[in-house]
Amino acid sequence: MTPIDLYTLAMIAAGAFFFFAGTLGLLRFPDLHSRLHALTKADNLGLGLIVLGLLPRMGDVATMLKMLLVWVLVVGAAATVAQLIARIALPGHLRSRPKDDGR
Amino acid sequence: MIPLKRFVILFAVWLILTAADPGGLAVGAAIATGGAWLSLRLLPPEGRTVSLPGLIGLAPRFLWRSVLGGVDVAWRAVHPRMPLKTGWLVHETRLPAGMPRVMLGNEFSLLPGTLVAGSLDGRLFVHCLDTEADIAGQIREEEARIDRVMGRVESDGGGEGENAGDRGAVR
Repeated sequence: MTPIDLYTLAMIAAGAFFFFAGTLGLLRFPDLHSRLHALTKADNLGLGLIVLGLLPRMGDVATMLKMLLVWVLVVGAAATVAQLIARIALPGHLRSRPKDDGR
Repeated sequence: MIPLKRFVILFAVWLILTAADPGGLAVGAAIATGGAWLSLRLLPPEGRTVSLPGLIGLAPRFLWRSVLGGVDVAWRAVHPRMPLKTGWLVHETRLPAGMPRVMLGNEFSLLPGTLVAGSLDGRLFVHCLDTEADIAGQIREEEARIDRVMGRVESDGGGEGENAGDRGAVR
């Protein structure tokens, strides 16, 4: 096994662990908003590690850039969608609270 | 009138997707033009000049902290006792509506323990995994950084969003 193989294995294993942890959070966390944390943040890191692990195995620059682009798009989509879902599920007492109340 | 910056970004994405295949350049240019035109309708320019070097300067810090965000939430998820102390923080943001606030929201949705759930009248709703962390302080720091990078809208009198109160309360 070459050092690059070891590097790839380690990065993919770490990436898979974060996907696992994110899924565990999705199942274990008590409410919708906490679950969103788990999905967006852990998956973002997991995918990033897998992409980084595979980069040196790609033959050409175009494929490397494409993989990085995939990661950027997934991160952007995850961050945006998580906020949209979080906003829709915003507890009513926050939304309706008068501006100067409670400070 | 097609906005050049947006065209360049979309065309660069096309080049990456097609590995700059010469046979696809004409189609790509047409599609990037259409995309840039459509983006003008969906997201009209706000008249601010974003500092690209400034944005790139923020990237390493952001990347590092989003790594911490993943590690933090993974640790809480796999921990047998699942240490969570969730709650809401309502933060009066100094940033103007539009792109700066969108940036702040995206950023804090990837950083450790925070998730933004939109804003109303300048109040940002932040869901926290650990209400004991100093999240209001972190948001203030980040607001200042984004403010420096995003530039000012020329016509902005600075009325809305200039509330320097910066108060946040955990609820």
